[in-house]
Amino acid sequence: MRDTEAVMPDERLHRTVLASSPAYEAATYYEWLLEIPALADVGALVVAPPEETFTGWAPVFHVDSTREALHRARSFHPSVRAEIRTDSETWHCVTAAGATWVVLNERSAGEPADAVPPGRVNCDYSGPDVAAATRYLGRLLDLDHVVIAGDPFDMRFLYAGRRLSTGIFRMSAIMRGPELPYWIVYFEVADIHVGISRAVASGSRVRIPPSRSPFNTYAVLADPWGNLFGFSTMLDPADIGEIPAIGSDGRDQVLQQLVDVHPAPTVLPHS
Amino acid sequence: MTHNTGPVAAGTERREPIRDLVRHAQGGGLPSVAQCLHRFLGVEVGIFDLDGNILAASPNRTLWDYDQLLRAREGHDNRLAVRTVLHHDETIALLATGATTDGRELLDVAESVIAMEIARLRARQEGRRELAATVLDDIIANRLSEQDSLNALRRIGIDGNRPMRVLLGWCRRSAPRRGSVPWNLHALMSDRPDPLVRVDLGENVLMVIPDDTMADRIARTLHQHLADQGAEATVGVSLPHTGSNGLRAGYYEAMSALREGRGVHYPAHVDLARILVLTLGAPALDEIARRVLGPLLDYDSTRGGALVPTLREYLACNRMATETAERLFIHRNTLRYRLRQISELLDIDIDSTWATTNLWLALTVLGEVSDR
Repeated sequence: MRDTEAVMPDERLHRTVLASSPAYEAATYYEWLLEIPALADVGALVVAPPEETFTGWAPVFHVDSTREALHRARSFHPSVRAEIRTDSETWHCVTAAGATWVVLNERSAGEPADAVPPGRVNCDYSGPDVAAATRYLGRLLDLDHVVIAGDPFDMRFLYAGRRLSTGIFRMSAIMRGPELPYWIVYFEVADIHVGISRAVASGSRVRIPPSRSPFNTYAVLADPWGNLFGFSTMLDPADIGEIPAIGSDGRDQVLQQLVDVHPAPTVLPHS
Repeated sequence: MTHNTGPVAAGTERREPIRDLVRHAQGGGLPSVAQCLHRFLGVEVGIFDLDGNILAASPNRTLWDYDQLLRAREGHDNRLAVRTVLHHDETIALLATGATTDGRELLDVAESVIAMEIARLRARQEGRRELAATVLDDIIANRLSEQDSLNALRRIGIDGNRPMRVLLGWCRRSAPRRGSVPWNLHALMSDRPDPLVRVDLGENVLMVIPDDTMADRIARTLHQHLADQGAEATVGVSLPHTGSNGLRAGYYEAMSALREGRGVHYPAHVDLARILVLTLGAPALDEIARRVLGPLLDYDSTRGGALVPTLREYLACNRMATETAERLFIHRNTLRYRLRQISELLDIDIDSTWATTNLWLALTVLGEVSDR
């Protein structure tokens, strides 16, 4: 069984939050869907949407100081427009032109027990200008980046200390609507097909069918309230070959030399 | 592709992508079909089920808006082209592409290829579905012992020892459902059993689900799926039960709730009369009920009377004379006269508990108790 004291949190991915109304109904839905007793088990929280901010899932990132984060990314003119207050923390909702909301938590001593356990949740940022998003988020969150060589979706990752924090990619196409940036939060499950069946039977809709990436099988859905979310099942480490990448210094790399694709320990919902 | 000239060569050029399409379907299923179409047409391709779930797409990280797709299907958006995939004259999927003037013949073939692929997937799971339907039918018909029932339920993924609910759904279709429309195409594509057991029983859809926080949401989703396929969609949901007897009771509760009309219905209270009628089988009871009410039926048919409707309203109004008279638009004296006739013809005290129960059951059997 999972021992939270023995588990190291992700370097930046602190929690995930769903801004949706009605919050209680959405929380109950996801707990049933993920077959977990509480969303806190995967470091997730559901809140009513903060006024004039965002709806949907968003990752919450650790920073040492929100003020310093805004200063690092000042060329993008970010600003804090709203706050989300939990029982013990205050999160800052940051916005900048051309980017979607980023939720920041100022790191304090001692990691709360309900932070995201490694391997349970991942996130991606999708936007029309991947390079700009990489620069913005990299500065805001003080993260390094690596580009997956030859990826058809221009995939790249932000990371620190061998921990992946978020992916960034460009959607192939939006049929037919504005190409806005948004987050996709993925929940690690034992079998995405079972997850999809339960989701579809309970009113969710598949938006991206089961697909394979170099290290996982994933799918993207919209819940009954229209919020995007994803299922992911990591491939067996033995089935993941070396992934060619390009470091931020422009040098050819192997992704696994820079980051742990499988953060240890990886915990599946039914472990 | 070759680039020869002349009519023979042109025919060869047309056949190449079609042959490729068929090969892709055989080798890689719907995802390969989508990729093949995307490669030949140069536009985005998406294959959808009828609930708006995308089954396959190329490029695969394409975000489709199903509502816009439906508008395009109705001709309100010419940036998308939407085709209907038919199997045995029933729509089973939609094929959407970015607007293109090319490849009409290829898309015509693609519709058939997709239909065949879905039919093939469905056939692959036929044994599993038939098993589930047989098990549930046997339990409902009380053909299995309790232990055999629990074992059979376990084989189809149901823990009969835990509370479960029965959902029964129906909708009015323009044509009889041939059972060729698969319910969970994603489960078929992944060759996994549907985690929520769902079978066709005659014209109804039967689901057996765990009794948990999502039972209502699943019922409403089922209702929406049915509403997308036909008119007057209705779903009946049972109370939670365990074991084979519980499943059987749940089936009849759901059947009873199903008759409440459009929408999702739960048993407000247990209607034992209706459940007894459903459980024991209408034909035998029908004869008995006609014997019970015979004198009244004969009187009404030979004398143009209204004794049966009078009795029905009297019992429906809880034997309140004033309300009954108002509902029948007759004077109270007329009502009293009719009630006296009923008592005399049946030779019973119409207000006794025994008579009330027996007559109410008989009226229920004959369908004289209307769906409220």
